[in-house]
Amino acid sequence: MKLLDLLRTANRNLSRSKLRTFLTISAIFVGAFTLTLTTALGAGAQQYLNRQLGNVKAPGVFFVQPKTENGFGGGGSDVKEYDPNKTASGTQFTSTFTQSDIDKLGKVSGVENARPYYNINGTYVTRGGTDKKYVANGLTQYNGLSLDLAAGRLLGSSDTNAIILPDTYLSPLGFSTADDAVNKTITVAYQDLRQHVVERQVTIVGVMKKSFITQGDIYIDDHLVKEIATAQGQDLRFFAAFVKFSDTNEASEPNQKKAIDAAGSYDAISMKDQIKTITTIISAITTALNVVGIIALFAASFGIINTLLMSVYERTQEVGLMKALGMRRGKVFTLFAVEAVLVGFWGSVIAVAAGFGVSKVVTQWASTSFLKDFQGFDLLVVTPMNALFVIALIMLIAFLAGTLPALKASRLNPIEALRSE
Amino acid sequence: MEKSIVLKANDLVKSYGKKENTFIALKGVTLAIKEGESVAIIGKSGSGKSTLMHILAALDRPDSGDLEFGGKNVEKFKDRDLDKLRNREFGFIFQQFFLNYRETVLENVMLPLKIAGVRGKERNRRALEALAEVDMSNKANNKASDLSGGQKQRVCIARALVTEPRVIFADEPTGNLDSENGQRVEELLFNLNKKKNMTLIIVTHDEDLAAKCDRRLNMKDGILMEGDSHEAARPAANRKQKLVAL
Repeated sequence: MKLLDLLRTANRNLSRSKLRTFLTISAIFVGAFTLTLTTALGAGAQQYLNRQLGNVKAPGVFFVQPKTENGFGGGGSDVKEYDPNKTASGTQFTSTFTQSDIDKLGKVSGVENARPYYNINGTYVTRGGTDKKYVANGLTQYNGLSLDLAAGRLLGSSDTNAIILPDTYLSPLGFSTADDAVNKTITVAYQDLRQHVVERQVTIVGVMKKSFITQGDIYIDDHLVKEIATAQGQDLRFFAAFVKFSDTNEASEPNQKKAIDAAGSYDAISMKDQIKTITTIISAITTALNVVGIIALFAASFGIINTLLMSVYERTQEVGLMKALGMRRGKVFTLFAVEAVLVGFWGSVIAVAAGFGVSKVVTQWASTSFLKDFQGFDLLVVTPMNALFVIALIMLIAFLAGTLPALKASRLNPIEALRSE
Repeated sequence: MEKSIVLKANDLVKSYGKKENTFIALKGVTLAIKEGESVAIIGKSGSGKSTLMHILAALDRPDSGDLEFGGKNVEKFKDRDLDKLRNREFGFIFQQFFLNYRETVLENVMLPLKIAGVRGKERNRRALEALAEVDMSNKANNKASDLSGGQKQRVCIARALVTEPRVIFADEPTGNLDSENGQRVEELLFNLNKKKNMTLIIVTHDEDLAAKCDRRLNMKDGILMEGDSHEAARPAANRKQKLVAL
């Protein structure tokens, strides 16, 4: 029997007992639908993260901090010796970088450049024409991540007096749209060591969407950062450094990390490591949800077994005849296995389609209600990969469930089968 | 011209059950059936006639003894080859028809070709030809359930001859039919037997039907009895059987 004939025959057999097939498909549907939504939730979160952190994959780029001693200062007799290379920060001793550390990191073999990460403070932003000033304590050095931009572009190393503005500042500053703000000039202000407010004219090169990772950060270019850091006395001691290797192969990251560690008492975190925690939590949650879906499928697979076993009993004579007329055992097995896989196929395809529709509706609703503040966060995203994965997985489960009835059918003795009533 | 032997069985033994409950259905049956012959296997129920047919039709294997089809020893065949043998060389007609009533007449007739892997167009053509042979062309697209008993059995005959087999096995082909329809089915079978030179092996307890065959093989208690006009086809071995039975 040709495969196409097997498929046709299987399909016809399924459409014979419509109610039973419908109920079995429904059971599969429930599991598949759950799985579609849970993977959609994971994909939505992942997509959002990726968009927020753009180059989650910034291979070869490390955020380097001095090794910290995680001793709690308060309480106990654990008094630490004074170390001039370390400054106290809260209850913890935090050592800081100097230019010599940057130089040292720059000389690590394979390093393209090392630059300081300044910890600066902004005061306000304002725009000519409005006399209102808005707090800008999120003034931050641009760290090279690709951001989710609403308009404009990212900062480059040649930019001076340039800024990427979060879109929350748009309407306070009198811009109607994100595009409207690009290439316009605004004023940012900071305080120097003598508490004098210094204003700077800066050009908006890009507008980024608000996110939970960038919070209220306002990114400015390296030159302006250095100027502010100098004015705020932060130019000689930095709390971290960016180190960029010329080798951007992700596989060499462990070795690059080792090279930095070997250069001194440094802690190197790759961009990937930085978001690892968040992705770990998300994947833990989605895994837990997926397990629920799989359990539902497991239950549904018993439905398939049951349905097909009934079908085998009902069709004993028919199977007997086919075997008498020379149908191979393997083909009889395939016929029933195909029926199981078809049930899985239809159940999962309908479930994925329904999941897709529900995802759209829920995502739409979520973005206008509880996810209002997380622009660009699509709660549920059914990706083609996940859809195919769900369908393939369920067809596999269905096949496995079908093996028992299919074996039973293939082992029928034609004479006894024909004799049965 | 001497006809060649299509089926040859030598000392077939078959038993069912285990230990004390063993039932010996065949106690050493030897026979030879020639190409184009019509043979009736008759006997009461429990005589072993069905078992004999099952073994001759390669639906079952004997415990001991040899079966030859066209000069080849079937006992050495693998299951796969037996399936192929039944599909290509044998046609089957059953008392209970075993039609798929949800499908059309044409689809029912096609089944052996479908199993053989014959493709759509040729399959259609050959099935229609077979239906024409039994004068059922006009019912090709009817549901099999819409037919009368006689029509059903004619469809079964079409199904049996669609692969142009060398041997047709008919298990009580008229058992479920009234005499008029039975008559028609019998005529069809014997016509095919003559026209296409298909060997016909009919299992029946209908003496009238058996009388129309070239030869009759009487089964009793697992033994082939005399009553065969073709002594040549049953050499000395049969006498040995009798001795065994005694």
